[in-house]
Amino acid sequence: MSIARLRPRLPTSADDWRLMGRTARLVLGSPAYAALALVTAVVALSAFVFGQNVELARFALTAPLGFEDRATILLGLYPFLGTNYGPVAEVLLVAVAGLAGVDVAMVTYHFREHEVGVGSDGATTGGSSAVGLVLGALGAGCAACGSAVLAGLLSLFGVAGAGTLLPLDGLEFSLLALAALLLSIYWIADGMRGGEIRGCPV
Amino acid sequence: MYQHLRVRRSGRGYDYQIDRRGGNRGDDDRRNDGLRDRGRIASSCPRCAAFETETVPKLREQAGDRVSFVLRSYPVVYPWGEPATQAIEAAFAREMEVGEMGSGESGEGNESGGVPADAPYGFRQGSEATWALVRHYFEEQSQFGEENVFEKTRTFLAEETDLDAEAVVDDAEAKQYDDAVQADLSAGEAADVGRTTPTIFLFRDGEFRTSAKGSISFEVVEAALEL
Repeated sequence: MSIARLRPRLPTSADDWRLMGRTARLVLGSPAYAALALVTAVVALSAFVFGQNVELARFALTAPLGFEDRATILLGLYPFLGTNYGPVAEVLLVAVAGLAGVDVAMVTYHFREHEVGVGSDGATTGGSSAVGLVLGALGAGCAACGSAVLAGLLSLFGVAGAGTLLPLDGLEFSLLALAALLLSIYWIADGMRGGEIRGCPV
Repeated sequence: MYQHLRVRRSGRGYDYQIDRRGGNRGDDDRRNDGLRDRGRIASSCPRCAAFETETVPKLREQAGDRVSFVLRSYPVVYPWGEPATQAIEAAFAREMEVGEMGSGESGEGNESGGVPADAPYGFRQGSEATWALVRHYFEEQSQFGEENVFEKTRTFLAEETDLDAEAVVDDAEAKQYDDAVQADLSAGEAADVGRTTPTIFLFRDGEFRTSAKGSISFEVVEAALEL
């Protein structure tokens, strides 16, 4: 096995990014996969925001409230609809959720339509997707609650004063999530290179 | 820091209070005849600052005299938050002592009357200077660090309040009121707050409703407390 095969494949050229865009567009051109992407993005974003406020979400769903109050509380937890996040964090959260949707749709398409098993490509892609989602959740926590969550997490590893280590108050995790998801999308697109999606060449 | 949001049916007037755990806790509970909201906020936490500057003023404006706040410190974010919290507790203690000496009463401030719409935070309790310090920490967060927090606190108190700035900072450096800081930290751990700030506890008519993490909006508080 040559060493070159062991190096991670990274989207380093404009062609790689065009490949990602074209492949995503072809997959999402199917209404079923577009719906899957949308549902996944909404579920991911909801998991991020409700995960920060489990008690409040539970209260909104189970307390004797009017429908309007219930909806106000639940919607108020989302970026752009509430005030839990700053503007940069809001954009990153929605971007992470959106890319998670695209990634899941592409992974599902590739596995189902191209009958790809969980071999090295599948494991790499799935692993990157999972890493992206975990980092996205951590980034959402840091975005909502300052660096306290990060400080707590890093204190487990004996890192004191952790809040001063990261200049973006934990949004670095959201950026890492974006990177992980983009890598996953690239690896899927690269795996479909030369093939066809809904009859169109990739 | 903690923030208690109290919505009172009795309409005794809107107020901001700094809550001291320990000795006056019983009195505090007995006064809670209405809605209450507790929150924990760290002065070095950006989202705490957002809650303080965006949600709290709107609550004061929209909910009027049905809501009051009680602040509790929870310094778990940046290192300068801990000495800042010591300074807040020291300022509060000094301010209450001055209030007792002036009124001969238990530092209740202006409990008996209504609160003017433009009254400063802490008017009812007599803790205006402490609240001014709290807001100063939030508004100038990016300027503070562990190496300058006491100096900047001294300067602010000397220039903007009537408190003995040197005495407050001396007390803070000596951790004279560390029992109050530790009591709030312990209470937060007991309440399973973890390391999340701000955390807001919402009460109505003396009954706990729910808690919220992050700089929740006025609309969410309004809906949760059915204001």
